[in-house]
Amino acid sequence: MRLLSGDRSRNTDASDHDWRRPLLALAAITAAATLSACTLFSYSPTPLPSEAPTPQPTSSASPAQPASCGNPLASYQPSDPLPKPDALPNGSTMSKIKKRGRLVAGVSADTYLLGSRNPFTGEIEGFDIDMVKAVAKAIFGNEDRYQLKVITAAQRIPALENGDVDIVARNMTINCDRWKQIAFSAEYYRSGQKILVRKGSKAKSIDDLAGQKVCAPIGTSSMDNLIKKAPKAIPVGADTHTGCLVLFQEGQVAAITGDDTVLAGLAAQDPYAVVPDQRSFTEEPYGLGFNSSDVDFVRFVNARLDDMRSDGEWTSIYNRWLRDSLGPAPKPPIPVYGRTR
Amino acid sequence: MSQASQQVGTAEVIAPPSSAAGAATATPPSASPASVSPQPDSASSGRLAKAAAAINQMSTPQRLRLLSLGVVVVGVVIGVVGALIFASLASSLSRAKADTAQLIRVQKIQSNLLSADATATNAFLVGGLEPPVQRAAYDQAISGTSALIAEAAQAQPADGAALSALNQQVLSYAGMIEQARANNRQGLPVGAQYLRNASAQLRNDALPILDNLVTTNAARATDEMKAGPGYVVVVIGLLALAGMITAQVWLARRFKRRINVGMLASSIVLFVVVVGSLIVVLQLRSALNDISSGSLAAVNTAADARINANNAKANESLTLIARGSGQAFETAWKSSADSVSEGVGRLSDRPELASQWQAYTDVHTQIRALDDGGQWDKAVARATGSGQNSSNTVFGEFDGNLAGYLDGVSQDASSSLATQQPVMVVAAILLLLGGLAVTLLGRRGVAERLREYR
Repeated sequence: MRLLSGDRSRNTDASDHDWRRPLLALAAITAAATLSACTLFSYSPTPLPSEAPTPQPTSSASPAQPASCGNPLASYQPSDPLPKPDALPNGSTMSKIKKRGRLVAGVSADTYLLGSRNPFTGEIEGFDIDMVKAVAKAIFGNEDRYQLKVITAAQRIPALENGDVDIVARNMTINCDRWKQIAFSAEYYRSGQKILVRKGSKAKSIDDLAGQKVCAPIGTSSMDNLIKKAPKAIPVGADTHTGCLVLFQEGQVAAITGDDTVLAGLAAQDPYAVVPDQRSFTEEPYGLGFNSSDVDFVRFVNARLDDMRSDGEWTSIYNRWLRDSLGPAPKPPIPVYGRTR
Repeated sequence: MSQASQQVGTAEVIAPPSSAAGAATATPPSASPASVSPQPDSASSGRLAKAAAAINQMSTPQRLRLLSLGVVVVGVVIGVVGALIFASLASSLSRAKADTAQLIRVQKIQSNLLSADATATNAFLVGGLEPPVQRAAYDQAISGTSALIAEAAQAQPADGAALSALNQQVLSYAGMIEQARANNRQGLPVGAQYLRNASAQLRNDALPILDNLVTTNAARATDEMKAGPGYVVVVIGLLALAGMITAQVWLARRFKRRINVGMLASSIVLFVVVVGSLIVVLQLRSALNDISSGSLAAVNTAADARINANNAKANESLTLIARGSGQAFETAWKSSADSVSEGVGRLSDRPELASQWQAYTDVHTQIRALDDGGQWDKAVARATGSGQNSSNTVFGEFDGNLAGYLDGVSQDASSSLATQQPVMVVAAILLLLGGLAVTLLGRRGVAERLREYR
């Protein structure tokens, strides 16, 4: 006790300092270190996904040497007479379809006027769809017994080869390359490739598009023709012609090339898109596509098309869809037959 | 009084010096072998030996002064380092809380966007005139997304670049959806193309950015949820305690007194500090383990399930829009739906989520059967209707329930992190005071002995 009290009286001054100095030092060091730790702290920035390489507009398969197959327009001789829906030959492709209860057709849902979805009704409608209905009527006696599968241009041939669809009615050009993989009906419409440009553009034909970006769907004859006829234009690919219209509206391409029927449908959706008066630079004969082994079905459809041409059904379908955009109905294309293989 | 104490003091001084003075004055023979022997050894051990020799050559007061300095160093190190470490644990926790909040925000942006896409694609199936309820739901999802992006950018500057890239994607997505709507309302097929482009852009460009944000913030939160540095305090404390005990043994031998009150009190404080730190660190570790395997795991599972569920719902509509060639969308539906089933299966505290999801997948299977069977119209009616058994109603029940659950577990996670924070702050303050007490008590104990030499 004594010792403690004496201790205190003697060291009052010193112990005061003893007290404060370490405390102050402790507080100062702690504060400084905490502060610097807090202010210096920051995370490294969140990484952005590495830029995916923008898919180069593939110029489709450039056919080195166009295949030759005689007259590509020649299809199989039509069955004569056209069998009635209740008298389809046993074991034929048609009777198999009838047994299933519906005709499965590969079509476009966004090619205005030919095959497009009407947003008001949800129905897909157009010139090509009416062709499907005509075939369904010949098989079932009822034009509504069909199921549509929406496919892109590039899916047309695989869908037929895989048997996903019975028939393709999707503005498909008949040519020898395709005859090697699938079969065609007789020509049901004659179209030609043209260009669509912005209103006020000086370009009037494919020759005026050198150095400009021109869109066409990948895997179509339109793309092949573009590369062939306008090698100086910059080809840009899209999945469909409507995809091209989006690029056109976004200002990413200056022009679109395609069949006049398709372009008419695109121009109808955009008041600033025009198809200038021009001569089409290709002939695009449309045919309905089939699996190459369904020759009986091709003959059957050819007979049906013959009837439609002669009884005016073809002309009334044309008038329903195309007259407003493309003028009065021409004569239906003259069918060519005689294919044996 | 004071004389008496001094006498006691001098008596003490006289008693010990016999050995201490000998060591100090006569270059003690005991010291020389220590300084000679290390010569062949490496330089560092030589230096250590020299230091030991230097201490050996010191007089007792010099040693006491050194001990006093040592006690100060021990106290300051324990106080400052301990306080710093616990303060850093507290700030780690606050960052973990912020990172978790950001993670939840980013996941919400993701599910909002996919829910907007699910609504937009579903409304598109209905036709040109979209139902006002769906329009409102879409608008709400998009405006909620914008608000969350701004909030997230403010909350975590390191996410700024990614969020600004995301914002561009959202703007362009919303723009394309508006164009799809305007065209669709006029019956123009190009509207469908805008919708497809918008959905594709969302999945190809916007979602990868969000995936990065989710993984990065999750990793940040995990990195911050640590207790490890706390053990450093315990280790330093144990070393200091060993030093203090050694010093006391020396004091007891030198001064023939068993106990030095100051040093003993200082050691007891040090012991309490060590044990207290160990307890705090161990409970922090177990609390963090509970959070990451409990509420935080539930947040991740539920958020993932919600994102995948909305992705699946959008793909259901896209499959129908593609009309027959939507196999890719159906495949995407399947893989999303599988991960939702797996996720809700793990949320064992809410079994009704699994059964509600099952109910939706049943409706989806029926829709697919209708469409594949050629009855597209009926499939669309089932997918877009608002009836009792429609896809929208059944999915809506599941999604609403899951969103509520997600909010709950999100709050749990951040509040359990929040409760740990004050514990660390208090620990830091107590360590600082503890270090101070060790210093003062220890110095006082040594000073008591030192005074005997005055």
